[in-house]
Amino acid sequence: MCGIIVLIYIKEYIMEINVRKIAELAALEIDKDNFSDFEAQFKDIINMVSELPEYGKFDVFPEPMKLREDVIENNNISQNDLLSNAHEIVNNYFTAPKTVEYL
Amino acid sequence: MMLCDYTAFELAYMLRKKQCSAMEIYSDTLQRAKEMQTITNAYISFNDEAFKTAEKIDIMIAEGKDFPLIAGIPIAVKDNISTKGLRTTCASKMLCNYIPPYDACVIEKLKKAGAVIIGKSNMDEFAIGSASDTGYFGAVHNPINYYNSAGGSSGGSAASVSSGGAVLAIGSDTGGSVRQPASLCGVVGFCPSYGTVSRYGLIAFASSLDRIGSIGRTVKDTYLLHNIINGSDPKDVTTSDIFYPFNLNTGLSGIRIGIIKELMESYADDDVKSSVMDAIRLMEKNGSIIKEISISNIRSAVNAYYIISSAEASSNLARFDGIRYGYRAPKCENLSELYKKSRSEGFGEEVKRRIMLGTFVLSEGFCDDYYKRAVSLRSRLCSEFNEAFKQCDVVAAPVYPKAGIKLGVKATLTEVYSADIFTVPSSIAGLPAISVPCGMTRDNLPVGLQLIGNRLCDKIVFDVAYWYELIRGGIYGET
Repeated sequence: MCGIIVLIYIKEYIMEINVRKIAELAALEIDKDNFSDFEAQFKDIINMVSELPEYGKFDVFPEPMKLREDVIENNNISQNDLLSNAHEIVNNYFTAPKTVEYL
Repeated sequence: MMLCDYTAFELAYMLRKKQCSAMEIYSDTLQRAKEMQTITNAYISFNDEAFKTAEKIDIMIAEGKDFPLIAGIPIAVKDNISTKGLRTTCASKMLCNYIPPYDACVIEKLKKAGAVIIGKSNMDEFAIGSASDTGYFGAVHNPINYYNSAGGSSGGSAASVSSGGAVLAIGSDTGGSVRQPASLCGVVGFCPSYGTVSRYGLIAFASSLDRIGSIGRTVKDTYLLHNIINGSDPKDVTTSDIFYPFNLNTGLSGIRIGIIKELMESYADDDVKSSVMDAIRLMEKNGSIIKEISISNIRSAVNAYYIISSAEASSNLARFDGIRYGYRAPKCENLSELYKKSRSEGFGEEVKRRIMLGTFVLSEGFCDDYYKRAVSLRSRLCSEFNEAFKQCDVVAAPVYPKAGIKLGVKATLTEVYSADIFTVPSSIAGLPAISVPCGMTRDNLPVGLQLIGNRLCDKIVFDVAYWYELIRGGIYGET
């Protein structure tokens, strides 16, 4: 009986997952024609990975690691080399669509 | 037999005896690689500058200079490892024109040692996948059976070594991506302890799991390559040095080999299980002690792995925004549209799925239920492995439940993910592990034996693998 309740709970819980919202958060779009297949597969995977033991109050979670000093060094890479992979460069700057509207 | 069919050690000897030149080795290997390319699709790019290194080694030989053992040996490098001036795509449309302005730490080391980087090998997109069939440049076919995958994600690296299109290869292993293709292509694949090889210049998938591994046709060759690339690096704060003596040991009578009960109870094809059990029995016959051990949390390792690796992928792949490098979608009106369209058109379906899985498990309201439970499982699994290694020196297991993955045959994603059960436990615990050929199935497909060691005990993993290779009859013998 307990098992059935847990199963129903998990099923309802999975149903709450809003795949469109997750795609939005990840800055991704899912192809409209394949959306229902993608959604079903995505929920299957979440269903699978949700089977994990609970964590206990004595579990220790790792602390963020200590990072090295961010020291500027000369690595002999030219500005041109660093910019050369960008789609568009104007006056040695990366470009992006306009984000500020002038009134 | 062409020069590319010899082992790295044999070629190093032949170079020193002037029985061949580095240019001849390179030419033979490139010829084979190009012949096989139409069949296996193992490479994404060839290195047009490689002959210069071979020429340089020949000059050194002519001048009687000393040179490292790996000098003049052709090596394939997985296409997620940055090579200065040589296209590095991660098998993705996102990076299909990306030329790194710097070398990865492992590439610097290989170049310094005189290795000949023959080309960049094909893989799953961003190393996400297990059949090398998610990449933008097409699937990698297995040189042993065209209709099968070479495995993944380092499928091109394993296929090139297996077919003579490279003598050695570098791959990356996040959840089994060096060991599994090595097993499916009948070669040796080693994944080192986390933190023993610098990840500087490896394009990240899951930073707490990513490791750079070595592939060769023999254990000794694989050890030779690992010995060049290992070592601490200030640019990767997770690295430390461990000492590797030059020679591998074979006097291993009395070595304790653990068999994890829960893994052996997991599904694997009969042919795979029987080959692995034969290998274990052979080691027992030759003086090793077999111990059954239990690691109860291993059953949940796959789930924890997919949560942690996807969470880290979601964060690592956020850098691909179409601004500084990588694919940019045309005709975007605003910044948000540019991000969304560039990423949606630049990434393949599996990569998008994993990014979204990672975004979900880290999102508000779900993080405690998924990510925290996975991290907790990970630390419990590490403790269980620590206890297990008090009872044994290495653990033996299969590498993959099947000896062949048919290309183009649809399987459910949960089945595909679950098949990683034999490789991901050591991945999430950061342990060294090797896949060494241990037999063939009735369909003539190779099977790999996996040997897993305790953290930083990489040398013993190599020792046992080398010993096993010898008692099985050496690289040219079969039992």
